[in-house]
Amino acid sequence: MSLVLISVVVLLCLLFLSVPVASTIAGVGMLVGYFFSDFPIFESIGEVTWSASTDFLLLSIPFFVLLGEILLHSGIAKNIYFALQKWLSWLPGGLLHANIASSAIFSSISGSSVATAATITTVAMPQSEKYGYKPGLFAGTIAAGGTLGILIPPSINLIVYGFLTNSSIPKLFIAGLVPGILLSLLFMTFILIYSLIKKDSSIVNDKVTWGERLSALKDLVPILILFVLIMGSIYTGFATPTESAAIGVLAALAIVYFNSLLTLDVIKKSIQGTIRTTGMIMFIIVAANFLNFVLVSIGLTDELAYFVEELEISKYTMLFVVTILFIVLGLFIETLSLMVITIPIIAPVMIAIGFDSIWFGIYLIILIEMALITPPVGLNLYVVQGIRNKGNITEVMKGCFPFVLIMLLMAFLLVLFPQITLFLVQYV
Amino acid sequence: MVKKLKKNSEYFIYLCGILLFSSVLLISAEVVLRKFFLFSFGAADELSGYVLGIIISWSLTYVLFEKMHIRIDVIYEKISHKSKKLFDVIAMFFTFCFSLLLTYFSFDVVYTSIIKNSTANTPLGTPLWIPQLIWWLGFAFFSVVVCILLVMSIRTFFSNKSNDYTSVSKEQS
Repeated sequence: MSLVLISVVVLLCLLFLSVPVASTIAGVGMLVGYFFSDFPIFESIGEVTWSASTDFLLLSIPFFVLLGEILLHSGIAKNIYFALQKWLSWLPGGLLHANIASSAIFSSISGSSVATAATITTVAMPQSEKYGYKPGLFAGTIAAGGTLGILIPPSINLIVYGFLTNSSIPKLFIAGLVPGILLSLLFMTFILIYSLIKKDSSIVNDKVTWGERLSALKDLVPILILFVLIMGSIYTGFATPTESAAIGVLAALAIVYFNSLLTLDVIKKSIQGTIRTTGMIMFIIVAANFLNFVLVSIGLTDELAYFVEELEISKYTMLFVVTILFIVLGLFIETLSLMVITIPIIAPVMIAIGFDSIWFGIYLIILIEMALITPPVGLNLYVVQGIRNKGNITEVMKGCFPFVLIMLLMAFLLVLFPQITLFLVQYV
Repeated sequence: MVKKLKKNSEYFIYLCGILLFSSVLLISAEVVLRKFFLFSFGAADELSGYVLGIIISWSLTYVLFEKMHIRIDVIYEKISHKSKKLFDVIAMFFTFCFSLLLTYFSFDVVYTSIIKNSTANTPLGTPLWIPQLIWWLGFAFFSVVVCILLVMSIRTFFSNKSNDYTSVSKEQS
């Protein structure tokens, strides 16, 4: 156990010294490997890295990022927002619903909650001023809505979880679908009730005719087609997740082309964005994969699992401890890093004491979503604040707070009713 | 010189982009052919795997210049200017260690493939050293750049100036 403690201390020290996360993880891997392995573990870093960096599953990550970037830079995302505004603004809470729904839809397709938060903020913020919304809650809905995408498939975070725990991606995707939609609905229900109680006058009074609504559908149809194409090709057995991502990229290109939005500039920006994100994510994954390899080869993961089993605490106590751990770490550590650092150690233990690996993946993702909007380190908070560029960030934090509570409620619901995730999995 | 390297890293990413789009086309074609014409190149997976490897190693430098390698800046933001420079040196030092190890041991992979004349266990039978060499060169380039930036950050630490390459975020003056 001293080994675990030393590693954790070193890990945290390096992280808070602002050493890049990938280097930190690899550093810990090397340290542990050097002191506790019977064979020269460094020499395998080359082979391990080569096999991870040519893994066909991981290729789906740049593909999904590319897909999102193409939609983002071509302006399709903006159209989604305005279309949803026409459909949802009559509800009490008005535009807040459009914020949640468009963030959920766009972030699920683009796989990036940061890009989503950025895009929707750019489009939505001017609307907020025009109709006189409370800036805090308005920004909060965007930041919180942007997190939904990592739960609703296709999701890069789920791919990372699947890769690190060897779980089936199609199963994870289908398991995330219902909780993702449910969480979006819970968000919207909250807004509805809140607006009714507060008698918020900031309802958009512009009369939208059914004609306008129907014509707005043409902006929603492409994204729907894309979603059906990706999910459909996976679940009909037509394609693997990576292949469906490739098809998705082609379809996105076609959609952008037929909307006469395809320019060289769009392609260039998409490539830049994709390579940037891919490089960032993959460097961390390569490092985490090495750490994972070290931990497994020295038998630490097994040892830890036995250790926890012998403690004979109930599995729900353990879940509670893990949940608190994630909430606390999530306050300070960026989400992808948090995932790759903790999953190799925690997931095997949780699976060993009797949790379903798919269920735990979804549960974890909800905690990760929470980490995206909890201060002091909550990426979405800063993205939204950075773009709205006025007021104070504490407004955004306050605006997000109710949604953090709703996420906790959702996590609790998952524990009570695991069927929410596992119901659809049995059909895959 | 650093400016030039930065510019070069940008050219490389467009090459990576072209590779990425090619593998999109290849894989999509493979899926359609397999499903409707019961025909397969049998190489789409393999070649795309190499593409991913190459993209990863060659993107690292660009990502470094764009300051996208994630650093946790909770403490960094609260400390003095001088301490920030020290943190930058530490960060660069650890990145250098990792990149050096990665470069050194991944060369082992290339070298073994050359010596053993290894070919991929696929219909294509690619001589593995070809994609592995391109992959390795990406890491080597990264190491060189990190080494230069490490020296730069040390120099900055002992001077009154600041440099825009090694600090956490772009806006830092």
